[in-house]
Amino acid sequence: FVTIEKNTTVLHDEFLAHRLGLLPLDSTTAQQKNYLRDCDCGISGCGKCQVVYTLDVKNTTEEVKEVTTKDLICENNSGVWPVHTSTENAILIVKLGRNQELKLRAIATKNIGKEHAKWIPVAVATYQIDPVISINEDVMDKMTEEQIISFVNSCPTKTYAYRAGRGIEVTDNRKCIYCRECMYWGEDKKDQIEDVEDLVSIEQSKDTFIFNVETTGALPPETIVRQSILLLKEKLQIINNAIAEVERKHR
Amino acid sequence: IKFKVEYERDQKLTNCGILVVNKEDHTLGNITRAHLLMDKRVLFAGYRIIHPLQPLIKFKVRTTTETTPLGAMQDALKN
Repeated sequence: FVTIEKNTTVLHDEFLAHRLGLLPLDSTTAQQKNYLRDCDCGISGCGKCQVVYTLDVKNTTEEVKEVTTKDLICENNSGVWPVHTSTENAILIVKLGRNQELKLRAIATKNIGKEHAKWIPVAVATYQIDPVISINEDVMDKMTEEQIISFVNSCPTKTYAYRAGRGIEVTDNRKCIYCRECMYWGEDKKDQIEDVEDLVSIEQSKDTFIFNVETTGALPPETIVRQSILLLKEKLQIINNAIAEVERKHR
Repeated sequence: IKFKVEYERDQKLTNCGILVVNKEDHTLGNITRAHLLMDKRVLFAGYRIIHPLQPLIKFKVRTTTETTPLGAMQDALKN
């Protein structure tokens, strides 16, 4: 929530409020704070569910003055800062010309991303599935060395390696990008080698996932992943308990 | 009406039940359904969201005679 007292900048009020809402705040202490709707104080606000900031900047110089997150002053406790590592990285809020000023009061609350995307601590989250590559030894024995080498070279990411004694080996499971080049390699060689379709099989492992998480700086990625798993467990636990009650009623 | 979970036994089939869960979405529905399918005693497991504007999930579970649908759900949720 933002209360603006004086604004003579080039950006209008809602614009500034929107920009302030998107600022990432360091949330490592957010665990102890309550959601606004669950807090004991009602909705009036207290130290446990809100952090209050003030911003008061006036440009008395001739040049352009920048208002950054460094100028946000925290009122009550010093736990929750906007995320900036040093003076150079402070996030720009607005630029002031001559004799323009900005005075406002901002309240930061805790909430989830479903309400508004500004509360999501993650910028990008992607996942991949580990490939399981298995090579059929019998078919490999029927191939000549040239064929094996051409097969190994058909993979664009070099997941396979050929050693004279051991045959085809998979160097690194995760390099495979499922392009299926190795499977298409056998298409035109059906008359030369028997059962060439069974040479290699690439499947997705059913229980290994590789998550790629990039955060906005509010929380470190390990915390986010750990927290999300714990929350998921909690939700499942709630449903489990509810089912137990319903089961009792049914008997 | 603020219930979390409601259960109804299906009349025509044995060991089949419909479980309605309130205030949840695909996040939980999909993973519990996938987990139920990994259980060997479950014959049928599916979920659907009746309308995207309402956060209700209907699970339909059918098990063998070894366990009840509710029991299978509880095991799946615990693991």
